[in-house]
Amino acid sequence: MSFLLLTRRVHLYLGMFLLPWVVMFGVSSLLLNHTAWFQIGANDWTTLDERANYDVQGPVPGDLRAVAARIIADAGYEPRAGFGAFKPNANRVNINLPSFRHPIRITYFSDQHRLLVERRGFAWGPTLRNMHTHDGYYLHAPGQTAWAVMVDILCVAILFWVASGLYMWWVLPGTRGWGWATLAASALSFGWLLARL
Amino acid sequence: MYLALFLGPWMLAYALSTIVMGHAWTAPQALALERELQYEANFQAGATPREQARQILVALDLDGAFSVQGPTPEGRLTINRQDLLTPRRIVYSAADGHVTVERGAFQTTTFLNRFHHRRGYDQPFAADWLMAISIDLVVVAMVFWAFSGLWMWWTMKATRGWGALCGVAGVALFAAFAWTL
Repeated sequence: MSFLLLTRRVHLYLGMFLLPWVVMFGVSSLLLNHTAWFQIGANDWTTLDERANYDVQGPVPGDLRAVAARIIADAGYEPRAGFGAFKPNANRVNINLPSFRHPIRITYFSDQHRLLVERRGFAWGPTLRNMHTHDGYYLHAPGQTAWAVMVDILCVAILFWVASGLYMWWVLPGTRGWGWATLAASALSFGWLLARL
Repeated sequence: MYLALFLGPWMLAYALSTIVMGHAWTAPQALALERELQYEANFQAGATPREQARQILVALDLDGAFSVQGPTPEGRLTINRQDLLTPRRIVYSAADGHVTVERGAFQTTTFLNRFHHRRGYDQPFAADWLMAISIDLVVVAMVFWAFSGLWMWWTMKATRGWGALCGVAGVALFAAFAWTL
């Protein structure tokens, strides 16, 4: 098998394997570029549980992840898919149990001794946006890490497609003229945007 | 092919920035004082913080995409001028008319991060609109590449077996992720 044929085959088979990710990132980019068009379902949160007189017990208050883990357990969840936690102010802990389709958010209001558990209903826009913006590595869960690895593989594939595409263009002498013109237009447009943005 | 040649820089930038962000390699943005000056504000009555910020930026010859925070109870307005290569933070203090301009040094990781997040039609500047149009073009191109790739694969009989295997494996794995995560 020649180098050219090998390049063409890897270009093709990689594309076939990663096609769902390419379509997903493409369509979700449209949603992110036109946020106002795709708000349906973004705020469709249903209360699953609300507890008054709740206080988190046990972990050292300064250890946010330990506090969040205890709150999640108290709320009756097992964070198999990992979780995110942050403190927007001194009296509040926000916890996210990530899910593409049905994310859950748990809010602990320490000054009100209140716990609120909500789940978002399914909608295409928010689901695709979740897939696009999912930060898998920091969640420390095997499934999330696997997703992040797939995103890395897609990125490496894109770099390969750009390089192999240039090579495959170069071996077609009949397309060189228009190819050079396109590359020049691309460099000018991209450079202009970088300089002006 | 020509579409791919044209959009190559966008695809490179999106791929590299995704790797940088996914691995949290973005360095914190370092800012250094560029200049200080007095600005005698003459805002129109009822001017919003955004209108006030735009007026300050125009006066400083720094007009372009920005976000604004404040004013604080002390009357301090913080403007983030979202320049891709050299971002700036401008702080205006209404109490004494003092303005500080801080400039961010160029760092590859923060530049890639800013590039990745530059999108949408919210900013009223031609360059931002052209960037948003270019993103729409990338979207159309990605969907076109996916389906034209499928069609080109189908026309090459020698690749049907392995191609189908790769396609089915990719769809199955994606569906498994979508169902479980």
